[in-house]
Amino acid sequence: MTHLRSGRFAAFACSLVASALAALALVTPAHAIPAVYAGDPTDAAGRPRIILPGVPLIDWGPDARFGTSDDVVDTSIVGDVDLVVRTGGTFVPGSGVIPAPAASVAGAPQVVAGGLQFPSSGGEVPYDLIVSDGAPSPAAGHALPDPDLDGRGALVVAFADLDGDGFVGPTDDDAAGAADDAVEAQEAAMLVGRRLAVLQSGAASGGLGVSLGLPASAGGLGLVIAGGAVTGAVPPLYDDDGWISTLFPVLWPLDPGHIIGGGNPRPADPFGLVDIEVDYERVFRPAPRNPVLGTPFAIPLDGSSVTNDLVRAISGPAVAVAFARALDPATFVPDPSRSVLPLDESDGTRHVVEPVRSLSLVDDGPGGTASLLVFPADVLGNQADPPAAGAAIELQASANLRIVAPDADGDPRRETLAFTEAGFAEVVLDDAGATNDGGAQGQLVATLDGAAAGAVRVTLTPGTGGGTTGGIVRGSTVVKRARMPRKDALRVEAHLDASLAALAAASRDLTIALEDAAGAPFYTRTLPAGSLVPNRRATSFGYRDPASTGAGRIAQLMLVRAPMGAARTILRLRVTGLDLSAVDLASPSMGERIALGTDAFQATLACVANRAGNILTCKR
Amino acid sequence: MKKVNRNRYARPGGGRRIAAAVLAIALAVVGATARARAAGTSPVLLLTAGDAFSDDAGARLVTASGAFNFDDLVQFSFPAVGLLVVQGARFARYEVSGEVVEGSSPLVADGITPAELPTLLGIGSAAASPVRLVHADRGEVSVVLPADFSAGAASIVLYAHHETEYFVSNAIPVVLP
Repeated sequence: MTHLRSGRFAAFACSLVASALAALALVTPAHAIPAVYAGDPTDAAGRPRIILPGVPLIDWGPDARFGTSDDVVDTSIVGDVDLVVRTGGTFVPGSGVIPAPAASVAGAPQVVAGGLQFPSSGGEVPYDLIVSDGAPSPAAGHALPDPDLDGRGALVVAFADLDGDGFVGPTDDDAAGAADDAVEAQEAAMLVGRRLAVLQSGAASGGLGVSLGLPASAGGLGLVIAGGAVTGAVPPLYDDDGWISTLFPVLWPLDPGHIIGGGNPRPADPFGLVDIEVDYERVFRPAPRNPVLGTPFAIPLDGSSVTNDLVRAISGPAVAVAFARALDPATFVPDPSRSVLPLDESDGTRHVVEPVRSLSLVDDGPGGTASLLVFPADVLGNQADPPAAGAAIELQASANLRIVAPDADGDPRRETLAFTEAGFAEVVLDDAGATNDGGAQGQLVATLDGAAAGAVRVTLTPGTGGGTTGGIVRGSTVVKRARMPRKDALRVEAHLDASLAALAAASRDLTIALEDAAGAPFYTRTLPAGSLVPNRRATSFGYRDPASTGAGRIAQLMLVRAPMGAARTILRLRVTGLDLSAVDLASPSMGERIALGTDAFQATLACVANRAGNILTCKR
Repeated sequence: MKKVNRNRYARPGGGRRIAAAVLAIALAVVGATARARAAGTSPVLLLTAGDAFSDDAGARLVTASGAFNFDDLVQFSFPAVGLLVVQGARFARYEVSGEVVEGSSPLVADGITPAELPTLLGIGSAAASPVRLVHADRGEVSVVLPADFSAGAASIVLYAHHETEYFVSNAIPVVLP
C-alpha cells in the first residue's frame, strides 16, 4: 500500500488541483441533479464530487491510482452526510427522522451468523439504507424521501471488528498501537456480509445475513454496517454518474470501470447474485495517523460514526470441530479473499486466526512440531459455544503422527479435549517414530461428542537427519499462584545439553512443555521458526510477547550460551497472566520438555511447595 | 461411454469469470455502485481439491475445496445448492440447508450434467444420522458419508439450481479410505 505523504500533497495540492479537476470534468449529465446533492461540492463541470462523509476530498488524479504523484487531497472540502444505514428496523419511512445508531456492540441488534439457508443456524438483521439531506443538525441529517433516486441500486455491507479493539480498520489508538495494523487492515478488506438493494422513496430496506460470529457467551462479534448507492440517470443500471455512501473503512476505486469482473451486469436485485469485484490495488487505504488526513477511516463501534450502525453477530450451535493458527501481525498481508476469523479465549482475550485445512511436518522424529488451535465450531467454522452439558472433542491421529501436547492420557494417537465454555485448545502435533519412517501423509481427525466433525490432512516431508533427545542437566521451574485469577506466573531456567550454535535457534521451532507428576500438561507454547531474535554476536537469542498480550504473555525468553564455553545452552523463560489453578502445588515432581526443531531435551524435576502453599519450586 | 460434461463453466470465458471471482470477492462503496450495476447471472461452482478421512469408528468424512457462491448463500436461498458425492451408481447429496439425500441411479454413474440435475434432485431418500453436512465456508465444504460407501474411488461435484437454470461444477476424484 502506498501512503499519502504530506510533502507530496503540499507540492501537488496547489499545482495539480486545477488540472486534476479539469481532467475529471467530464460531460455534465443532462439530467436533473438529485436532491441529495443539493449544496454539495461539484467539480468544474458541475458534477457532484465523490467524498466520504467526514473525510476530505481525495482524488486519485488522471492515472486513476491512489498513492501516486497526481493524487489530490483538499482538506478544505469535507464530505457531508448523503446516506445513512440503520439496523434493527428502527427507521420509520415517511417520518423524516433518522434514528440514532447503536451506541455499543452490546446494545446493537443481534444476528446469528449464516443467513437463512445454512442448517440450524442463521438469521438476518433488518437494515434501512436512508438518503439524508445532509443537514448539519441532527448529525445524520433528515431522511430525504424524494423519489428522484427510485430504482437506483444499492449495496449494504458488513465489516467485522476482528481484533475486538473497538474499531473497524487500522488504528493506532488501540492497545496494540501500530503493531497490528496489518490485521486491522484485513477488517476493512474483508466483507462478512453484503446484499443488494433498490432505493425507493429515499430508502432501501431488507435483511442482511453475515458469515462471521462469536459465541453469545463471549458477547458476540461487533460488526460495522455500511452502504452505498448509485445515483445515475440511465436505467436499468444507473451507473452512468456518481455514487453516495456512508463512511467506509477505506476508499474504493472512484471509477466503476476499474472494477474487476463485471461480465454481464444486471440491475440490482436483493435476491440476485452479487458478482463484481474491486481492484484492491486501486483502493485507498492509508495508514493510521496520516500526516494530512489523520485516521478518518477507522470506524469506531461506539455509535459516533453517524452514517454507520452496528450489529452483534453470534455464532450458531457447535456442530463441527475447526482448526486454526494464529496470525503473525508482523508478517500478515491483508487480502480480501483471505479467510480470517476471530477467536476468543475463555478469559475473553481475542485472537485473530486463519483456518487450517492442511499442514506439513518434517518426518524427522521428535521435534519439529506444529501447533494448531482446536475449537468447537458452527457450520460456518465460527467458534461456538458448547452445549450446556459441555462438549468433548476427541482428536485421533494416524499412526505416523503423534499428539505431543496436551497428553493427558499417555496415548500419543488420541486426546480428548473437554469444553464446558467457549474457548480453544492449543494442540502440538509431531511425526511419530524416527526419521523418514512415516510415509507421505497422515491425518488428524476430530470427533465432536462421538461424531466425525473435522479433519486436517498432514503432509510429511523427508527429514534430513535424526533428531536427538538430550537432557536438561540442571534447572529450576517455579510456579507462582497469584491471589487474582489468571495472574499466575511461571519461571523456568533449564540448562540444555547442547551448544547454542548446534541448536540453530533462529531457524527452528521452539516448544516448551511442562506437565505435572500425573503427566497432565499445564503449559505448552511453541514459537515458530524465526521468532527468536539473536543479539549482534549471536551469543543469545530472545523473544517476548507484545505488552498488549493478555493471557500467557511471555515476558522474557532467552537462550544464552553457557559461560566458560561449555557446550550447553541456558533457557530462561518468564510467563505472566497464566491460569495455573489446575496445577497441583503439592506435586512431588514435574516433567519438562524443550524441543528445538529435531532436538528435544527433557527431564523430571523434583518439586517442593512453600509454606504458604502458593509457590511450587522444582529443581534438577 | 463417458458423457461429455456440459458444464456451464466449460464455455468460453467462463474460466476467466471464475478466476476473477475466486481472486477477488471484495466489494464496497464503489463496489456498491458497481455491484448495483453488476448483479451476476450464474453461480460460481469450482472444485480444486477433494480429500477423504476416516475416524476410528469407521465414519468417513469428505472435504471439497474450491469456490462457490458462499457469500450469496448467506443472503438468500437457492432452490437447490450443495455437494454430491458419487461412488458408482450410489450418491449422497448434501444441500447447504442441511438436508441430505442418498440413493442410487445410473444417471450418476458416468458423470453428472446440468441437464440431468433436475431429475437427480428428485431421486433418493433422506439420509439418517450421522450422515450430514459438517462444515461450509467460502473455501471448503465437508460432509460425513453414508456407511455403505466403501473404500475406493469416488467423486465429488458441486451443483446449484438458480432461477431457471441448473449448474454443476467440475468433478474431482477422491479415494475413500
